[in-house]
Amino acid sequence: MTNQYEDAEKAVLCIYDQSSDAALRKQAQDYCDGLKNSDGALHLACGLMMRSSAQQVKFWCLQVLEEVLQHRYATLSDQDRGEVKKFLVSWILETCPAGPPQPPFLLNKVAQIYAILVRNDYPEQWPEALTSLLAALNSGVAVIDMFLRVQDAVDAEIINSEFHRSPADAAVSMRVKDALRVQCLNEMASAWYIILREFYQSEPGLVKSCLSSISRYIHWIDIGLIMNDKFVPAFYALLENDVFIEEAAMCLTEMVLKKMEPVPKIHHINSLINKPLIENALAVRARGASKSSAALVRLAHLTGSICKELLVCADKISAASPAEALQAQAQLQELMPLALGCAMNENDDVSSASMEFVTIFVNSLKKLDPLPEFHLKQLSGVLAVLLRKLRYSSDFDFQNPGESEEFWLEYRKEVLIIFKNISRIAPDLTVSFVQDCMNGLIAETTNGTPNNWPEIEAVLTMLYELGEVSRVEDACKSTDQGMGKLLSIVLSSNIALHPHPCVQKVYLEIANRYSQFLHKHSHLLPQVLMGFVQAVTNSRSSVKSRACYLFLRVLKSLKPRLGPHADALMSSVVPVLLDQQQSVALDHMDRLYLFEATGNVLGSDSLPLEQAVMYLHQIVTPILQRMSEVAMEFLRTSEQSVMVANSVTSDDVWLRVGVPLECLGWLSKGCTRLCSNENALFRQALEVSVGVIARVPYNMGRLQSSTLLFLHRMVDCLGERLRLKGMMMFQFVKRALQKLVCIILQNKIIIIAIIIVDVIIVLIILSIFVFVFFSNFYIVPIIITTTTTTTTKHHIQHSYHSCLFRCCRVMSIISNASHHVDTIVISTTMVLVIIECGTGMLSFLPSSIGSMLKNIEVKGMTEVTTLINQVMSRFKEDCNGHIDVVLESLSDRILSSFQSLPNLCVSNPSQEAREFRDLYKIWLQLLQTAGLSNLIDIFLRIRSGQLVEPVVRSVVDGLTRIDEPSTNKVCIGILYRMVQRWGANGEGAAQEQLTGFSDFFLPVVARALFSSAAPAASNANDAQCHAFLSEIASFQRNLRMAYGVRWEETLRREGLVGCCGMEEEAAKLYVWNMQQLSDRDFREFFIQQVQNLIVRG
Amino acid sequence: MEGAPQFKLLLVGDGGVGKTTFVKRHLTGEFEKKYIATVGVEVHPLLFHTNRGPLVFNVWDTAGQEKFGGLRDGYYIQGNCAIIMFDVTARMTYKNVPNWHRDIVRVCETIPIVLCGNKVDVKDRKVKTKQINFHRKKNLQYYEISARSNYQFEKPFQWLAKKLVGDPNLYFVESPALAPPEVAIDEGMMRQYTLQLEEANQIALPDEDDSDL
Repeated sequence: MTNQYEDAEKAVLCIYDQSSDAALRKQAQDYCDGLKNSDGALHLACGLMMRSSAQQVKFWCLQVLEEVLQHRYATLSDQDRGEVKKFLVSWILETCPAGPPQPPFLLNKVAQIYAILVRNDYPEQWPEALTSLLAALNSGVAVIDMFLRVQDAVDAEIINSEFHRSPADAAVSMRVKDALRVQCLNEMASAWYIILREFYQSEPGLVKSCLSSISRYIHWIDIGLIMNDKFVPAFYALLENDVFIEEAAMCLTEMVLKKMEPVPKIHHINSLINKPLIENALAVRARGASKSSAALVRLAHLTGSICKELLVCADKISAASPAEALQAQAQLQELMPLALGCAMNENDDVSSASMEFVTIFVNSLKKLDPLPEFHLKQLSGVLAVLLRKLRYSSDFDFQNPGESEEFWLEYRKEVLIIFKNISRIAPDLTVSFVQDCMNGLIAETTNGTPNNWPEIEAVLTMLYELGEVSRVEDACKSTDQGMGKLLSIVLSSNIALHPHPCVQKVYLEIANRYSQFLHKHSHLLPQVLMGFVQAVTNSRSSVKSRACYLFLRVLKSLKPRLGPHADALMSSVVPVLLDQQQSVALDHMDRLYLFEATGNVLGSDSLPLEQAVMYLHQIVTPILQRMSEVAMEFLRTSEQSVMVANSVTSDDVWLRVGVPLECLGWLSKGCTRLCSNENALFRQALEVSVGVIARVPYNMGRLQSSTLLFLHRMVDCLGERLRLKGMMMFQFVKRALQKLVCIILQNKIIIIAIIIVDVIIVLIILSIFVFVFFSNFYIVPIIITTTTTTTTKHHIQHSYHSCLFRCCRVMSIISNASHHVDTIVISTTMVLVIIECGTGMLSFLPSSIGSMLKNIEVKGMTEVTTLINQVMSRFKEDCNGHIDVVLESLSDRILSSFQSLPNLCVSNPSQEAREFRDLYKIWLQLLQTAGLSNLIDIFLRIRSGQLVEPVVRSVVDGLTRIDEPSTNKVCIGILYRMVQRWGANGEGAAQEQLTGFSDFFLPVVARALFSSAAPAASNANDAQCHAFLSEIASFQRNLRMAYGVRWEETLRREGLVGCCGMEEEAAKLYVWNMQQLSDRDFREFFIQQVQNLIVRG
Repeated sequence: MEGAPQFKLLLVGDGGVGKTTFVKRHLTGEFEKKYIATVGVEVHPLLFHTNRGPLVFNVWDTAGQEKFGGLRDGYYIQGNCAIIMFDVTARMTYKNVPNWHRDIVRVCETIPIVLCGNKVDVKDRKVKTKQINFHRKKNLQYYEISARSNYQFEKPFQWLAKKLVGDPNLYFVESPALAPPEVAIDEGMMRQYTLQLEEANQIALPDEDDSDL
């Protein structure tokens, strides 16, 4: 046996030794595990525990005991059980007190094992479990300490409901509690009191543990054991001592929170609470340094809990026992200042401990209408607290906000939520509170006291938040009272010029939020707009950046009123836009916001057209000039254009070309009509841009997106009005030729292909090829050609269009041959052609655009689809007959790509899946546009309707492949449109537009409906899901209207019985319901059915 | 790493909550750990540079322990601080947090502890921010993290460092080398969670354990 002890000890020490060999440690571990699982484990552990002096070894022994008692107790003999109890009791009562002090982890482990035994055997098999310890308490501090630890362990292992426990555990907890109540709670309480009294000075640690132990037991023991003239005075006495204050406050809090009926609870609190003592404790700690903050938190929690409980009780009995309710209210009113005082504490932990009560208090007032006067007074007090807590500390670090700053900002948001709640309950009170604060502060600001910024910022923030709850329209009515007056005071003040950035920013936010008010009271506009101009040119980037964005928002909403202020605005803003003020360097996005903001001024109806045109030229001309210079630079080096462009960094090109393009695009957002009128200017921009883009390498993501953005904008602004000059197309041809030459040199087969495709193209190519190749001054002839082209008669115009058409053919051939041609070129070409010819272009759309699509990736397809979608929604039915070929190629390409579709409904989709998802969505959007623009019949014409079935299938698949209810709803919309156009108009399928349409359509739809509705039905409360489900329900009824019995049969056979495995009878009932119920009832019935199917799996 | 103060950090929580993934994000720790791998537990020395000099957290990752094997809470002895981790997509892992807390406190009594809700990048979370209040009852610090996207990786360490060094103004002067994020965190979603957490903090603690979890 001795050897086994020694081996075990060595093995345990080996496991703990980090420096020992891993293999050896593994061996030791296996050895120990073997011992642990052996029959003699119990005796070995007890024996080794007594012999070893190493703490880790003792701990291991206790772990063995724990495991045996926890998991193998049923296998132990009565004798073993008795022995282990004896061992533990004697360790606690004799071994431990006699030896040197043991580390807490050993003592706690012993207590835990003791508690496990209590759980197993108390009270039946081990009635003396606790009484034996109680009887020995007079034998010294060590035993008392262990007694308290056991008590805590009993709580943690058996009673405390915090831990996740099974119903069986709950029964054990009840058994133990009942036994303790009967057997020894009185003695335990007496022991507690003795410990508090006797060791108050000599063993403070013991008293602290005792107090925290008591606080754990209060919620389930007879309150009379504690609520008496021994304990209560003791707790208050300990509250005065810094050492015990936290635990004493915890005990009092637990007593306050003790569950009781409301009336007795009010009496209980009344006799428990000693306001002067609590007040004194608070006052003493509040004066102390930060050390006592933990104590203050506990006290704040205590006062908050008292007030909360009184509030809840008064609320519960307000009808049944009004007298008691009033008593509680009176008590609350008396104690509330204490809680509010804590809430106002500078320390946020202290403050938040009683802010909980403030939240509940404010919420409790929601049901009172009107609010009694005394509540309004209370709320005024609360508002003062909130204002105090909303203030930034003057040393707040805005530059490098650390964790404490973050925490404070979060706490501030909580405080603002309370404020908003109050402003909903008592709007007038809140407004007049803010106004009172504001009046004094504005006077101070005028006198030049910038140090008051935290106060001003806090009050302004309150005003800002008011905009979220009070209806701005109400404020608009008058500037003589209420919100209106408050706003006019603030907006007409010079707060915008306050030196502190925080104040400036919140001022701008207010101006934006209340822009409706400015709409009504435009006399305030000059002051506000100048505030923004100042902010945009502010030296602080945080102010500047926010100001640009808000400026856009404000100008957008005030657009009709801006005319009279244009002069003042433009003189300050234009230099900033054109970078003439070096001191104001704007970030890219901020610059774009500012451009769009300016666009809104130019687009204002109240601005005379001539003036607007003048400003527009003032801004656009210098930008174009700079871009033209870049274009010329590229043109000059055209022979090695690609190389030259490569030597320039892509950032550089983007800065010189992409940024101005984006700026112009954003400018045009604000004044689409003006741009449309001034099309020559933007046409020029388009030409210049294309000239440059055709000369830079393709692989420039940023430049691509800038150009696409610009092109999209130009389709909007210029559309069919625009007739492009020939120049840029020749640029394109030239570029295409260069590319072609390279390819021809590389691959002679292409030549043959070209000849086969179109001899005329080759002729044109060759003629221009010769022309370009032998002319060093090719620009001049091109311009001449251009001029002639634009002034030609109809037939020349026609041949010019043919030329464009052929250019695109060339492009398509190139793109077939080269994998490098990128969607930007294709898209650009298309838009140019579209813009060039307006609706007339449609006949010239390159028939072979589809072949270009062969080489492009998913992302490219998405871009092209977006563009075609835009064209379709722009030209609507005019597209009819012209985009058939494009749609055919595009559909072919997209549908074939869908054959290898990855799973799109995963929570973390891959890049590929994300791209496919975008493509799928834009494809559905395109079909939706086609449906809405009456273009969907194109599919009937394409290959005599062969595409219809795959298109329908892609839409039906969209129901299940995309897990977005909004997209699914679009799918249903498309399907419905298809039925309307192609399906029957009454009973039967005889008059179908497309013969045989319903033969495949109905079964496919019937099979998909239920599975597609399942995800939404499991979340039917979500608004979007609900909308989708409504749509799908009414779709079924619409199909019934269209196809009558045929649909009912198909739905029953294919969908209900076939797919969902519904019983025949249930399916019949379903169909009957579909016929008979109202729309609304059928919808609910349908959702219910789908949910049932989900449950059944 | 020599000479820098060292702290034993216990990383606990139910299996599968992402403890190992979390600790392996720190690349230098991942590199060093090979040399002191132990049985049943892996120790990862994570070096952080603070404005008060370098410090090392020896993170004891107790992952992969069988229920009755290994040293179990024996590893907690002499722990200086702890992270209790749960998985916001698995309710049970949050329900078990009090047990982990109790086990740590039993051995280590009063050490600073951070509660971490992991996998907040996953859209379908089961433990809503409103339901998370254990940290408030026990005065722990709580952080939402996403080990796979490195979201808030440093936060728990920084808070523990402040507590251990006793300097509330301590901060990390340089970011540790982390493995590249495997997923992108949705900032909008995180803002929403933060907002919800703020709202949740407004709600009074329930008297009884949440039975509706």
